[in-house]
Amino acid sequence: MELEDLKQLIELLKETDITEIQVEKEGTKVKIKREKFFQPLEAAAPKSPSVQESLIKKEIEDEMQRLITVTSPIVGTFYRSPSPEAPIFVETGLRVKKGQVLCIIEAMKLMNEIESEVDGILLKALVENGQPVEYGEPLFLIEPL
Amino acid sequence: MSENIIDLFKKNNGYYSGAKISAELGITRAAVWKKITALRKKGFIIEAVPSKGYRLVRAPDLSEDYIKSGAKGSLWKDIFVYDRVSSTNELAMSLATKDDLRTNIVIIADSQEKGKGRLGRQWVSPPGGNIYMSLVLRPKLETRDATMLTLLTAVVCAHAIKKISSLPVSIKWPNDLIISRKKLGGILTEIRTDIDKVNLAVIGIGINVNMEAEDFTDEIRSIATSIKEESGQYCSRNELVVEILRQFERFYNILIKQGKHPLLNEWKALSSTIGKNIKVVIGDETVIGFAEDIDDNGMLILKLDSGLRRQISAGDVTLLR
Repeated sequence: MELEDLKQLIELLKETDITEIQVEKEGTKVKIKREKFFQPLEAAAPKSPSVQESLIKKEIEDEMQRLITVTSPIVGTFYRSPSPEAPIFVETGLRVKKGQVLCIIEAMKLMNEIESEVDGILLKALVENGQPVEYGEPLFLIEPL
Repeated sequence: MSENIIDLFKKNNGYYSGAKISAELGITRAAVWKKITALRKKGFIIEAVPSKGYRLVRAPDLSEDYIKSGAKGSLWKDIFVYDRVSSTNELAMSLATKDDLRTNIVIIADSQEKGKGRLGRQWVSPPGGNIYMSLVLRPKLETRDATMLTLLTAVVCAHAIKKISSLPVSIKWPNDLIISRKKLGGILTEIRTDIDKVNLAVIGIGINVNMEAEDFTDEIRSIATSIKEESGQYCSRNELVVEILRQFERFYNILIKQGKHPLLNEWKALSSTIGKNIKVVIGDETVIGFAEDIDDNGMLILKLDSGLRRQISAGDVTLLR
């Protein structure tokens, strides 16, 4: 029996649930046995609802951390278009480029054009056009690309 | 540097001999003559009397050389005067965003094709009589204090117009220049910021100077006026621009060195809004109330009939009679 054959047997064991193999070839007998290394049954059981919830929550949090939240640098009024008649700067679901204007925050005829800090997709607008916003208030969610 | 000769003429209203000019400026008499010729080509009326010398009779109405001479050694590093631009704010913004180091620039135009007003509105900008200018600054200001720039500019323009024309200009919140309940001028500021600090400010100023009532469109005649309409006198745009630039430097230094309060007080003293019953149109909403005060960032505090107070950050204000 070659070393190669042995290796193959071990691989076979690893890939399956089999715990013991016995082979006889050209008068050589080989028996390979392994301890069961699977996780204990109780750990593999379906998780309790609270555990599952917190896992989902963590997943969402991870996802949110990946998303970029654009916040308002000033107290003012939020506009999604340069003028009431003009089309909005960026529709949700569309790609934005770094430096692209997303909205205007106006405070006392001071127009602050807010630009995207990343290339990405504008996932969600969190404020409606014409609404007042506070300092630091989240305006958009962007998924960076 | 043709503005040096203008400086001399401004120092002394009488005649300056070619010999004296050449001695004071340290240039040859031939060079003096060349400069005088160049100024005349730009529209300066310079009288020459044998044995007396040269005298500046009149500078062209909106002259880069004249304004540069008046603003020499000031906050303003570059001053450009154009006959016609699309919009001074647009030109200023494109100049400034191309080069992060460019600042303290003044762009002035005799007319604008698409003068910028608030929210895509147009600022009517015919040639020949008004001031359309944009100031480029990179102020050391926190973003939340950026609104001070709009109050500052209103205070600056009101002081400058008062000084040049003696008209009793007032400010309608936040920064309209008002006389006889009509609009004399407006200010539109565009900024670029980080979350905590201002990177760039472009301050657009439009003032109706020598425009005649018949030059206003029907739409705005009942709500707009000019310095000449109100005072009955021609007003030098050169002098007014120079005065605005000087006053801006003065109040800007006050803001940087002494903080917001002296400026807020100046604004309140010039305001025709505080203490009045007003109507504010905010998008689709109309609010009526008593303009009680402005807060530390210049936001309007409106006291409603219900007794509740509301902070207004943006909107069109109309004074109620």
